[in-house]
Amino acid sequence: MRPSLVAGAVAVAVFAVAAALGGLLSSYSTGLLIDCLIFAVLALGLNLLLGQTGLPSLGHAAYFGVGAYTAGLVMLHVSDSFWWGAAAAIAASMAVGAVYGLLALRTSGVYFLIITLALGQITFAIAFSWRSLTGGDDGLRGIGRPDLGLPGLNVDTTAGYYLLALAAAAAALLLMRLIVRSPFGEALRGIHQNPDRMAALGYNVWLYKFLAFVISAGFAGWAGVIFVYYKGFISPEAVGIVVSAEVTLMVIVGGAGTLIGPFLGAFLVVFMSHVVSGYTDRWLTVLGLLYICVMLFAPKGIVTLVGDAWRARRSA
Amino acid sequence: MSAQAVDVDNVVMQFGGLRAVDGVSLRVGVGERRVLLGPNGAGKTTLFNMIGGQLQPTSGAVRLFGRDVSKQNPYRRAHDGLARTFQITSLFPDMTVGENVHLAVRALSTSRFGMIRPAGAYPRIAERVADILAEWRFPAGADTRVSNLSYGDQRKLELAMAVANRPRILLLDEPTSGLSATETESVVGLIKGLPEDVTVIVVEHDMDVAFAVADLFTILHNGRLVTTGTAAEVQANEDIQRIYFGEGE
Ligand SMILES: Nc1ncnc2c1ncn2[C@@H]1O[C@H](COP(=O)(O)OP(=O)(O)OP(=O)(O)O)[C@@H](O)[C@H]1O
Ligand SMILES: [Mg+2]
Repeated sequence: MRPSLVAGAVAVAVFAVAAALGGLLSSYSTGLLIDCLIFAVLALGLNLLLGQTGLPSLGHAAYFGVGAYTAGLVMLHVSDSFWWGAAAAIAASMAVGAVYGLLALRTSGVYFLIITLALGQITFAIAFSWRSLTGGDDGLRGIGRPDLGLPGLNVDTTAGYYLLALAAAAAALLLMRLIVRSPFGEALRGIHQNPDRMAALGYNVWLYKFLAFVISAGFAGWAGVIFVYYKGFISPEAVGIVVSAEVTLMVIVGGAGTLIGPFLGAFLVVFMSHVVSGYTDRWLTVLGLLYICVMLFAPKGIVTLVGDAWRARRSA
Repeated sequence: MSAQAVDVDNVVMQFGGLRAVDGVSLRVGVGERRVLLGPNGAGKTTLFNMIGGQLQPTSGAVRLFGRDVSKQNPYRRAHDGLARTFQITSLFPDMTVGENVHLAVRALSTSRFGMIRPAGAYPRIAERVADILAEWRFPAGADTRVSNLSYGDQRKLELAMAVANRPRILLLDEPTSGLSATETESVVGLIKGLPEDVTVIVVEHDMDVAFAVADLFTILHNGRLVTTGTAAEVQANEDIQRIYFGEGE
């Protein structure tokens, strides 16, 4: 059998098992999995910048938040259609991503990191202070579950919503897989490794980075949509630096530049945060320690570590 | 009068207190083969960087085929038919030989922004990549990571990628440095085998290579153009003997 067929079969099986889990687990556990899936999509989006292109954005909660607020506002004021809310949210995230990208891509290296961080904080401040639109620190409340217009799928229950989140994450993963394997994705990896040679060969390096930035923001917005309809509320906290730092860690822990690494990293970090919060409120300290351990023992992330070990065994 | 392929007009490159290139003018006709000579630090690479667009001149202009490109990005110049190699090998070290060639071939294709089809699913590009790999023959194989390639093969790949899209202007910055005699010979063969209308400028320290590939030689020293002449003129000129053969390497 061709390896791609095997991979496809495995992916379908994983998806089927994951879908079946929703009916078996407690509502608490299912909720935890929904959180994992939401952050997996966010990490997947950030990875396009951080892992593929080598652009360390430290303000990705901004696009997540813009998506979540937009979807929430559409639900509260316009329509309860999932598709309208999602389309508006992704468009808004990408638009903000375009503006921020224009600003951030004037810099590089550590300055890029700092300016994305600053733009993230500005977004947080706007969410906090524009009371008439965002509800200020109270946030937006009373956002109901959306209408998907699909008969047979009831997303009002946690188990039903889990299926939606799973489908949303699978769609994001498939789309990202197309992107990273395409000529565009290949060019991003080239730019990561040697932007000067890419430019000399004829690639418009700036435009690639800009497009990667905007697409990455779109994925973050999509994650925000799934988030806000699940929680039913959104507050500035979701736009803040802690979320940005968490998602960065998810990408690095899992394996920046790999497709599945950020996904697994999201599961790991979300689970850890749930476990840790049962014992201590020093989650940020634990997060920092986790980061240091990964830097020391698996600087290229867990997926890469396991992959290298596997290859080493096979060739030994 | 037909336009020159490369027309460098009184360019200056100032690095802080250092004038690396100090008012150089250089005209190279279509299909001409020119060697740039000069001791270390003469400004040869800096001049290349201004022609290629990696640096913008502090003052002066660069024209390609009569068009002022002084303010154009390197990628635009590549689309105008300019290709180059770098003195310090500049590849994609974590990719395979095949992927490196692929990126080079793709660079001028309209599919380079494609986001849906897999990169390998473009038959014409795959074919061209296969042709180049067959023509250049990397003994380690196309699936070898470039960082595991021998130095000589890395230099070869550097060159293969520069000519992958059949450039009209080719800038080669010390293509034979560090190569064995056999490898050097094959580089000379490659340069001489390029189509006649390709304009080639080579920075070269090896005089045998220089005399083999070019008819006209331009000598730089301390950022200034000393003279341009034939092999005989260069060898006879006493200033040049002193500047270049005397104290160069
Ligand atoms: N980016 C830079 N910033 C500051 N100084 C530079 C820069 N690039 C080159 N120089 C300086 O400009 C001068 C010319 O350098 P260049 O590399 O053009 O010389 P070259 O003729 O190519 O020498 P070589 O034969 O050693 O390659 C040198 O003194 C070098 O140190
Ligand atoms: Mg040089």
